[in-house]
Amino acid sequence: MAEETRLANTSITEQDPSLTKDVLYERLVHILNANKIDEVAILPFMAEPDMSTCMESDVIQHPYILQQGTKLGIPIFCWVPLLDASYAALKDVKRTETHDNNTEEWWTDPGRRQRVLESTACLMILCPDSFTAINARKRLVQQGYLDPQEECQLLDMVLTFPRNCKSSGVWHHRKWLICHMYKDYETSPLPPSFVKKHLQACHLAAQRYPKCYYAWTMRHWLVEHLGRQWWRASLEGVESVQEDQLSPLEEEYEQMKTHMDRNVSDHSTHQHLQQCLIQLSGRWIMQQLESKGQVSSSGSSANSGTILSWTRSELALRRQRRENWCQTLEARTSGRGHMSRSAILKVLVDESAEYKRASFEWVVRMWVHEMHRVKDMIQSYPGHESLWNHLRFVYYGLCWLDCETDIAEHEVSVPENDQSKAELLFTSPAVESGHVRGLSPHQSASGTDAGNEKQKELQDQYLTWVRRLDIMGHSAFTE
Amino acid sequence: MSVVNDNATTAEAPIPELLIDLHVKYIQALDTKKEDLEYWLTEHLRVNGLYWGATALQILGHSDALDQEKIVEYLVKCQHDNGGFGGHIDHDPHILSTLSAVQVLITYDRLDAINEDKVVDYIVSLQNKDGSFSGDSWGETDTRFIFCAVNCLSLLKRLDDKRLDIQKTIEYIVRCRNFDGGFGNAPGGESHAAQVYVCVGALTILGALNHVDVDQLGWWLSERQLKNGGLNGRPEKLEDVCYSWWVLSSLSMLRRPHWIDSEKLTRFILDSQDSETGGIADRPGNMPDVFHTNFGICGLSLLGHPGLVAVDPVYCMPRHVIQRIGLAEKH
Repeated sequence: MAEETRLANTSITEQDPSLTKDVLYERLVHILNANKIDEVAILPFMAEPDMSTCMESDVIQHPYILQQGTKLGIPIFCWVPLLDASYAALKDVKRTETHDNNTEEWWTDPGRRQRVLESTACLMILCPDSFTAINARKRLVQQGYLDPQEECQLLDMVLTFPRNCKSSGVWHHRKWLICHMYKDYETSPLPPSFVKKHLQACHLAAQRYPKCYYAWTMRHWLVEHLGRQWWRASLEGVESVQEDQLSPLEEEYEQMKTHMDRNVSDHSTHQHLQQCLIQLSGRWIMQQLESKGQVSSSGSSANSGTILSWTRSELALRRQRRENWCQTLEARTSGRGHMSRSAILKVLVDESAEYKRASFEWVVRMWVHEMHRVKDMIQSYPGHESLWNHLRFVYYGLCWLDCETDIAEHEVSVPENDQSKAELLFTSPAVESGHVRGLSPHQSASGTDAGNEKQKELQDQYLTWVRRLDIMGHSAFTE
Repeated sequence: MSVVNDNATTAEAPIPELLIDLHVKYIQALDTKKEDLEYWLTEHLRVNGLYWGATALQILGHSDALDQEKIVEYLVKCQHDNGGFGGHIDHDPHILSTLSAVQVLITYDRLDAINEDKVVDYIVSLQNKDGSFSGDSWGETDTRFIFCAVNCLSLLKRLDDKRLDIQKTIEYIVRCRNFDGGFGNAPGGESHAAQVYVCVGALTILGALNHVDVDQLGWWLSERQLKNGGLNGRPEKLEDVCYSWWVLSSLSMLRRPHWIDSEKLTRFILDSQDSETGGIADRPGNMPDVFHTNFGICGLSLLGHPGLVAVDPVYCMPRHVIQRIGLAEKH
């Protein structure tokens, strides 16, 4: 980074006096106008002028490098003068507006539109966080002078420069374009192929610039859209829409598992996988909410994530409710049958049973599977805080599922010869401690002394966290 | 080198000195670096940069190191007809720069220079139906912008504006709360220490901290401290000086600042100073910038470092300014 800054702060005119900022700007604008650039890079060196291209075309490209008419290299020394010239060009258009006492807006004039397009295209590549530049482009889309699909392609190109992946403006621009193209996106599903295309853009960004917060924000938004449209169609019984929304959601979940395997310390990946889990549990969650009259299926403000953001005191209440429910059922059978305190254990008894998609049992299996998967990863890759944090989340979700009461009564009775199991919960600090203490590193795991020490530390932290979950959280803020 | 010397440099190394004079010079010279990439990449944040520089100088006890009159004149030029401030002259208005402008003007006690009512109109216009706030009229939403709105309206004593629905804002922030007690930029967003600061800050100002599981969040925040004393913003990310502020101020608001090792953090911040040019970098050995300089110095102030003016953990402005405008008693 320090070297990059040093190079960027080196004057280009000292290397070649003919390359003034205006010359650099004009040449870049020409290249962008004349070619369909799909990849851009900042080069840490100055390229020699290519005489052959100069002869063939009348236009000089130096100091830029253009390959196959689609890949553009910009020497780092051009960065400062280009920002200077692009801003000057953009502001000039707006100043004309004020100085001439011209009441016409700038976008009504073709010449000014063109200058805004050119200067903002340069700024999108070199400094996409500039609100003024990105807003001007939104204005052009809004007024019908810029095609939103083409603008999405420009965004794909802008993201090939990894630094730009962390710009919140770039990601909001994409979301804004989607909402502009599909104005009824809140009520009608976006085309599945369209969603996939944008999920792919997020995936590329995750590879180019790991843990990039805003790329993942965009991705959550898309996954939440799929989830919401899926449960809505499903509750309304629209079969085709259900599948259209559910399969990309399932694919995304599978892709996250693979991505997580290769990026074990990338907490953002794990957190997105959590969002996939929540959305896949969404239909069941929404059904529960609907049956309790807490939402209507058309209620657009309902968010399946909300139910999984409970506090410790809410968990205590829920456990109490389950206990009361079990006692009521036991009283009804005059003490002849015992009810399992755990809603999960019963589901796990018969491994071969087929459960209906999105049923309570189906959701439970998915979460339990995820718990086994992350524990397995913890053994293969010891000492990674992100994996242990993910385990906290999965345990947290399972605690909630373990106290579910809206399930058929026969599903929870414990056979007479097995009454001792009635008191057991699937999720408890004692059970969890037994599991976690038994997690020795896999033989293939690359264990160093430092790694093992870290693993032990994370294990203790995890178990303390699990125990604390059962302590009634005093939400009330006290001095 | 002898073994004894090695021990002396690792375990017993004296805590580095805070280079007050160098930092003052560094901030004074920021506006002259027009050949630097950083200068151009942050053109749209010039007003924010002024806030960071001016605040750092206040905390360093050198409030007169910049020409306040010139700054006020400049800020006035950044205000648009709709009341919002651009990040620089000729830049579109945004809530980020609007808050920064108001913070600087209040610090200098020069609110009289601008039209306050219009600022309030602008911020009110950015509230969405779900209670959140957008950053500008183009609709990007983020809990950062909620904090900017709530903070700014509170500084202007206009949180009681009838056009606002504050209850909805609180509900929206609660929807951004995660299982680990932390907060993200939107519902479902990953917990992030800076997003925690803005959410806890907004809830503090709105008197709604009862929605925070203080111990759960305090635990998560304290896990942000790494072996070298520095703090990160998310699990397995690198430590960074700016998190000294986001994490420590949040813990202060939750009355749990002692949940991290303050001596180690102090050393980490001081090690991140550039002893040649002045200024503080994100971590030792990197290039300094005004953002990290400010949050490093404010972090040190919160840690009670000697010789610094006290900073307010909610507003990130000098404590005496917050007392002067009568907000110190509210939290």
